[in-house]
Amino acid sequence: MEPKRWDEIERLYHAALELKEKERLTFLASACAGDEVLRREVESLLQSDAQAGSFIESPAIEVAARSLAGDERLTRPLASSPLEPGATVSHYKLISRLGAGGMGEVYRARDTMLGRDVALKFPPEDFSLDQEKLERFRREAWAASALNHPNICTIYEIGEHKGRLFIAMELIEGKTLAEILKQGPLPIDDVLANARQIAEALEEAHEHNIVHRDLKPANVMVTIKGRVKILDFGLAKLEGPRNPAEPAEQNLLQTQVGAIMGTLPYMAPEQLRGETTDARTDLYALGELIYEMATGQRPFPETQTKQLMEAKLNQLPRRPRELNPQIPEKLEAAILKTMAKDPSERYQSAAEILVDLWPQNVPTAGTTGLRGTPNRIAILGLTAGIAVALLASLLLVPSVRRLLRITPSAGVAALGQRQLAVLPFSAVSGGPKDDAFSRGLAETLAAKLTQLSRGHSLQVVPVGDLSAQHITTAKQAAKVFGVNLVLTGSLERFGDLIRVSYALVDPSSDRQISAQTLTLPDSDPFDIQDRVVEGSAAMLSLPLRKGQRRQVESHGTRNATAFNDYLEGLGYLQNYEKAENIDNAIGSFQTALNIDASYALAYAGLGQAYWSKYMATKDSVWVDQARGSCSHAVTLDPKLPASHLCLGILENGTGQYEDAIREFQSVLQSDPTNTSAYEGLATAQYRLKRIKEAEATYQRAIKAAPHYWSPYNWLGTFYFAIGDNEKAAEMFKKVVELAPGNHLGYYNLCAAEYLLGSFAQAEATCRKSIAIRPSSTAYSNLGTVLFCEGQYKESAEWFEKAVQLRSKDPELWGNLGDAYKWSPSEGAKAAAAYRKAAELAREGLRVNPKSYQLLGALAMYEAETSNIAQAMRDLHRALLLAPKDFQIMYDAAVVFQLAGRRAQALHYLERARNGGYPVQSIRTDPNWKSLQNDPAFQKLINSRNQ
Amino acid sequence: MQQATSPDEVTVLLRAWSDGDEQALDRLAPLVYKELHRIARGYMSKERPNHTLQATALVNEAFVRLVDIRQVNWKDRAHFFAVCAQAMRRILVDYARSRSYQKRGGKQLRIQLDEASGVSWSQDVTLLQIDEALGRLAAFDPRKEKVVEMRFFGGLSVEETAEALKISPETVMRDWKFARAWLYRELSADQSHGT
Repeated sequence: MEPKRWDEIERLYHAALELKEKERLTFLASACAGDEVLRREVESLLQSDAQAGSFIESPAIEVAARSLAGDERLTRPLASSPLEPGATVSHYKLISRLGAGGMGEVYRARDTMLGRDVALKFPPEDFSLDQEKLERFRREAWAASALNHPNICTIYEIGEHKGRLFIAMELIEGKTLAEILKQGPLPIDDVLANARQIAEALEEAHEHNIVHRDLKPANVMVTIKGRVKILDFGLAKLEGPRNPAEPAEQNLLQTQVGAIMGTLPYMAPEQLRGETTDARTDLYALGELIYEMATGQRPFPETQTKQLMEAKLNQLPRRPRELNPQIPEKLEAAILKTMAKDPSERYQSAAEILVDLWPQNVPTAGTTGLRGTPNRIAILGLTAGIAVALLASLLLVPSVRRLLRITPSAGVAALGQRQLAVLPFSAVSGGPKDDAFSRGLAETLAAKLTQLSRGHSLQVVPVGDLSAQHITTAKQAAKVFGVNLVLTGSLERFGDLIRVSYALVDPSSDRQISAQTLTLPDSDPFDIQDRVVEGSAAMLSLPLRKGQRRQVESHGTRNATAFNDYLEGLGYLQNYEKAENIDNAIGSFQTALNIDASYALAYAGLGQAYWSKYMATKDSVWVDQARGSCSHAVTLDPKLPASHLCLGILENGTGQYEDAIREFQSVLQSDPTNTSAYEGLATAQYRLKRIKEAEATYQRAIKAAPHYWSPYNWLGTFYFAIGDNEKAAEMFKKVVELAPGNHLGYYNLCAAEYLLGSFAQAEATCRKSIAIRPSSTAYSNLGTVLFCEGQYKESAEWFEKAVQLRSKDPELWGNLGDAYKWSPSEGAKAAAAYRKAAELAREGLRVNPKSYQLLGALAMYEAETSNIAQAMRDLHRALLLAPKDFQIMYDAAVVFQLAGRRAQALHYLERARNGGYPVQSIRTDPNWKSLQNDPAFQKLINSRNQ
Repeated sequence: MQQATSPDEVTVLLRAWSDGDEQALDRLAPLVYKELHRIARGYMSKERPNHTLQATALVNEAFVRLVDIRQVNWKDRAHFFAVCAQAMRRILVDYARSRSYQKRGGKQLRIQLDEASGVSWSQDVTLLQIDEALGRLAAFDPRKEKVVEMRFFGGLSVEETAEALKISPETVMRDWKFARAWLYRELSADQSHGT
């Protein structure tokens, strides 16, 4: 590099550092005067400076020492490791060590938050150093933690403490099957009972696409009551690289012989060969387990690795009945079938083997006739009879459970999880101000209850989500949000007294569970709020600890009138779809701030109101207003989650994703239940192409609120955006399942079905959504489906409805243009619609210049209105921002096609398809009519079977 | 191996090394290792959090502590500081290299790229990588390389660094701030392009 250049970079770098972050971009843009390379160079250094944290701030010798300390800890004997009984890890207190092995150490520990004992497992420490392995492990463990089955040891939490990974799981008191088998074979009834329970656990896991891969006696616990619990689901990868996604790991045996020795006896032949493993691999292991339980020895007793592998791959085991004649023939047949060398000859699912393990299908002692003393026969016969009866009733449990899983009702949710909606309180007398006040009160009440509910099995639906869906009654809340508890109330004024009544209601019956009425002077809104929060917390059995009481009582201002105005502002903002309410909200917050200029919460509210104003008007002057208010809120109270949320939303909306990430992380640090912050964080990560991080953030959001549909919906939308439509559909189905009365789940599912090529299904789903509640999105989705079915005129009608409801959306206008263009009677209207679309897209880009979707769309609209040169420029910009996005590839194909450049059009079309653009949609897009006879096009749309 | 123990001896060895006697470094290394292990033991024995400060305080003295600077008969303090930092860099990097060979799978001396902000980089960067990147930086700007060498490897303060390089403390800070960002970017790029 030229020394002059280097000096220039350094000069600009220091000059920019002197400025506030917000001013830097403008400064650099003018200082670099069109020298893009220079600008990027300085910007990336500034970014590095912001990210560098404490990088090289501590001296090298300390770094070396720290690493040395970490290494030595690994080689020190376990007894003196820092994990000692009495130590505290996160919110767990270690009680005693339960065991140690290749998987790490396991402790009995007390969960001080929930007051229960758990098992804490620490994987070996060197494990934490391999990031990729760690990431995979986390993903697996996270997936396994979703399993909830009486025969599977539940994973409560995957956490990290001082850089050390741990897993908190159900503490099981009992013996491992390995210990039990040391005493010899088990009675046949016990064999069957255990086998059935293991099979049921496998069935549940396999349904969730989780394969154990390391089922062995040491991983099966049996409690004193005979309940079987399988451990370490999804954690097998801790010990070996047996990943089905990497079937080509042929060198497994060469490199891993030492590591897999322990489990080798239970590995299936395909695992030994390093081939793909699946659910049937677990069934093979189950076969070996049953064999060993029934005979007291392993099917292949060889102890030398080589001989053992040879036997497993090529020899048949001894018939179990030769070793124990008490084994019923049917059971022997089941064992041998499960242990077939070729997976296709085994039972194909756990459900299949369960059928053969049914008591009536495996007649035991009493009927098979056991050789022995008459006395013994009689007793055995009797116990067998009881056992059969017990098992028959046990067997009913899973089948009922399965039914419930498909159609969950509010009652089912009540068993596991309480979901609460706080409805806006109604103002019995009084005008819109009282009304806004009561809504604001409900919102702060919900927020406080959310804080208090942390660690209790209660989830509170954010009030903003309720009002966005216009929920006003308990029944609606249950229908749309699937809640099973509703808190509702009313306010009434009598002179200078105010009477607040509130009640906890069961929405399925509208029955009041608990109710209370308070009469208080209206001059003290603080008292009103505190009393209502404390009263409702008591109704919900949420204990108020000392610190929490202070939290409940913190209002952000000491001035009662300002607080009043703030609550009013919140209330107006909830009802933001009425345009005047946004102005009312701005007014209320400003009044509050006139009284108390240091009221950070009110600044955050004001920022949010300005942002809503921008969203409603798309007038970018409001963006600056919003930024000013949010920043001021942060200045006043740097720790306030609402301030950072306010800024984060703003940064996301204006394309400052790195900044947004910082803001949202700051929110989550102090408020880990804030679902809006998860959503914002994941959105920013996604925009920065940090796909894995975004996915993990969504999953954290789900984890934070597993019975709330919204996070599933985000994750589905995310999958949709990255082109994984099957997973998207899966998530949207979950949304529909959790909130069957919510139109949004249906229109999203409709979109995913459409992209999967099931047009008829998609059409039905969209119509269902519209039947529940009309919305521009459902109209638009239905229009799209009909468009693909060639019904252009009807499609245009739905798009017309869509733009009526949402007139500022460029894509809706663009779609309307498409539908007009191909409809013989409406063709003349197309150009106007495209022009409108282009105009709106340009407006959007002024606010968010990095939106490649808008750029790609704009290029299309320009091409449609014969502005090819400009279209090419915008397309180029979009391709630079998102060189792999299949939607942009498709936009490019359309633009080139309209420009008459067929070869390029085909090139981009192929890239779009390869990137995941559905072939069905290409086939049905009339833009390609002129290509129908082109062999290259034919090859492109036929090369992949749908 | 014969160990240098007295301050005089350290002084002699440092000077011998700066005059080109490579073997002198082999005799200085054990002193650094001793210090290294002492700090590492501190990490292991204590449930922090104050040890970082203690360790840092000690590090600054790794060599300096052993030599009473007022009695050292150097041409000037500046030269002494520079030689200390250079020696520390060589010893620590050699040490890191030998450990990464020694352990299969290369457990190297690691530094978290991003401890404070915790945003995206959880990967580790080794002392070896920092040393190499610093070599690249020297090609553009040898003074900045020296600043990082003195502060990071030598554990010298801003004032000591300024004195050694005969520049103002303000310039040291500016160089440091720029070099740190440059290195961070350089190493982030390594991470994202590597496997």
